[in-house]
Amino acid sequence: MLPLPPPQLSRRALLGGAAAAAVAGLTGCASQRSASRLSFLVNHTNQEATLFQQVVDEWLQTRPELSVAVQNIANGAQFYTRLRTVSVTRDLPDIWYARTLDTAFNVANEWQLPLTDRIAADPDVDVSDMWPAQVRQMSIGDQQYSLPYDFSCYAIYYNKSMFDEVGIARPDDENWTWPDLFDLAGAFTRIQGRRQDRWGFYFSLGSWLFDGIFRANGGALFDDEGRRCLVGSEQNIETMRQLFAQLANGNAAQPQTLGAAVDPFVSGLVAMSVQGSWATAQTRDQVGDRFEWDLLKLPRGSTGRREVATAGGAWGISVDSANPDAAFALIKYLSAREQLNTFISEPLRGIPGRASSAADEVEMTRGQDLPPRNFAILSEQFLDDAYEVTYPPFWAEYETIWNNRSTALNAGAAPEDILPQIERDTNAASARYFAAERSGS
Amino acid sequence: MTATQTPHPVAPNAPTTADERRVPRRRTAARQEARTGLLWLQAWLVGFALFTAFPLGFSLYLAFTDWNGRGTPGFVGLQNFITLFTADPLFWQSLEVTGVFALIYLPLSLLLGFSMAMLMNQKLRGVTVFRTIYYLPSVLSGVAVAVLWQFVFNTDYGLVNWLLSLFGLGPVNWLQDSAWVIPAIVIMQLWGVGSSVIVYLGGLQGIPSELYEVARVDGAGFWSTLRTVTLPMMSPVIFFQLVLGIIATVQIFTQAYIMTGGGPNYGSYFYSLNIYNQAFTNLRLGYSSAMSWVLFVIILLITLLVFRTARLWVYQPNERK
Repeated sequence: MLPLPPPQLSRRALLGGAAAAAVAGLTGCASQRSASRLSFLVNHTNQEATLFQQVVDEWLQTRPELSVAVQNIANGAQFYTRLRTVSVTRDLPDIWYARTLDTAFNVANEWQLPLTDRIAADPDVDVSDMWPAQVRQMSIGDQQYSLPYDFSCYAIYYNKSMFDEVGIARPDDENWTWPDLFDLAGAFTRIQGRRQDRWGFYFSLGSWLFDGIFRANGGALFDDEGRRCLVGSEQNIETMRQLFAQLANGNAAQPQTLGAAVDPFVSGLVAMSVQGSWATAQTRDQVGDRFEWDLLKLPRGSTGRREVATAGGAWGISVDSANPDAAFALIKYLSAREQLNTFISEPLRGIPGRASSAADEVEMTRGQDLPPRNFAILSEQFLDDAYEVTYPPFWAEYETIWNNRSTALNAGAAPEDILPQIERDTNAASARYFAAERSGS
Repeated sequence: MTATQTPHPVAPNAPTTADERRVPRRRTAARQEARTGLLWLQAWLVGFALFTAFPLGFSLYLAFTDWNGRGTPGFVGLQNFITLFTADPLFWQSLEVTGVFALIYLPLSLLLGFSMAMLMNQKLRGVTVFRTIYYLPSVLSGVAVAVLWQFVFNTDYGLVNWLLSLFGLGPVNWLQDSAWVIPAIVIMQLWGVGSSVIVYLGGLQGIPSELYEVARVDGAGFWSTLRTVTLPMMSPVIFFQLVLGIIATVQIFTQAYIMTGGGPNYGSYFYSLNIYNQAFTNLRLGYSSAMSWVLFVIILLITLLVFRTARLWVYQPNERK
């Protein structure tokens, strides 16, 4: 084999080549944002993502000049990591699933475009059909930043078959209280051999669930301005003491420990479960015909009130969008009654972000004779018991703190130790946020 | 004009032998070879510059700024470091958690890995099957392993508590109790010790058999052979495993991220998880960069310390006394 001649390469050519390759690399990494192509990021199941794609395709039929790239990241943590990463490269998707819990954070970090002027100028966007509590959560000051997708609250899922087996009638959920639920739960506990295999109820340590429970018992998570965390108050500590006493006496199943492996309600291990409205479809699929189940309203607290915490999903438009007009037209379409019926009401998946669509859903449950049969109580809770609040900009930090510290309660840590720690950590985050706001950075 | 085309003038007192005359030509050839090498390295160099050197330099710059990813980073001098050391209890908590984990896990992993390698080094029938079985966990995805162990450690239905119940023990709240969460993660990590077993095994099989024969002739038993032959000859491999182990252990992340989120009560809030949360939950990119550089300095100092002690315990056959 003949030896190859040595390549003739000067230093200048070498450096030139390297520079050209670097520029090519950087160009390749640069954003490819275009006004004719909208990016649409969602955080849903594959079934929902398929529906989004279908509805977007319908919308595009009258807009041949546009295209939409739908991307679904089903895992919540990965979805948020993606958002935070692309925010740094100023490449936020034109439209994304902006939870109402995040509105203040998104606005504080200059991610979301205000929509109030567009909404006011568009007669097709009927704000009065949206849930008032959700409108409040989608707004900062006098600006609304999103259009609604779904709206959620918690309710009590109960196993009708187990109630029948034990011989207990459906409770009067219009007037029942948390102590009533605790008493009722005691009737369902069962110990086989050395192990307990049935509990009265199950609750998770959902971060926003407890705002409602605390309020119903005279406490709250935050002050009215959303600047100061109040979770360590005496009222909240007492509420948690009563709740966690139910773990100690066996009335309640261990939160999260049990839930990490199995869904205790779906598995028939508990008679009642404090669960979100979004879980109706999956519960129906997973329970099948193994037992009958339905919904009860949340119990009233020591104040006599039933304060129902709510949070929702919505469509936000990015400040990085090259075509906010088209993006607004698309989210308006996605948020319309007919589309919400397609996404949510027809498959009976949670509660849509419009009262008219929710009414359609209740009608559909009657027609289909599927559980939960008293779907209407979710809407009733929104209208009668949901309070209005804007979640604070440090919500994500609060949630990390809450999730981290509150799990210690499951292992027997005292609420009077844990809740003040959560309050202290959260207020440190709050102070940082509002100090930055004061300094204008 | 390239160097190969340039005639080299011969000075009056230039070397006259054939070998000496070839030296400049050799130098030219070496330069050509170097340039060719650089040409082939270009793709890697560009990748290194774009994806390693630039991010490193940028993160060092960010460590002195306050930045949420939008707008211009605001220069804050040493404020991030001052806050870290004086006003952030979670910084100290995550350092403590990481340090405790490293102090428990590292010696155990070195001991267990080495012991298992000794067992796998026996000339027994079917030993290769055991080697494969013990190595298998190392090829599994860290996330999948973490999810699997969540089930294993489940308080009510987990395998570990079931085993304990056979002896009348438990149940233990492995992942819910801040006193047990680190031991739980240590147990899980030790399950994947097979990768280090392979390295130890390679080292053990490289020890000259003559040394064992000499020891046997001298009447050495198992323990004295281990002490005077195996351990000294294996000390470079143990050193290598120790250094890599320190670097990997201090950066532990996935297990806590998947299994506990850092809880309960920050009991498994490892330093890397803290960095991740500061950056990707709280959008404190400057602050998290400062934390990353502190971690780099910590790893560097520990590694240097280990290198300094190496002379005392690592056998170096080529070292002049």
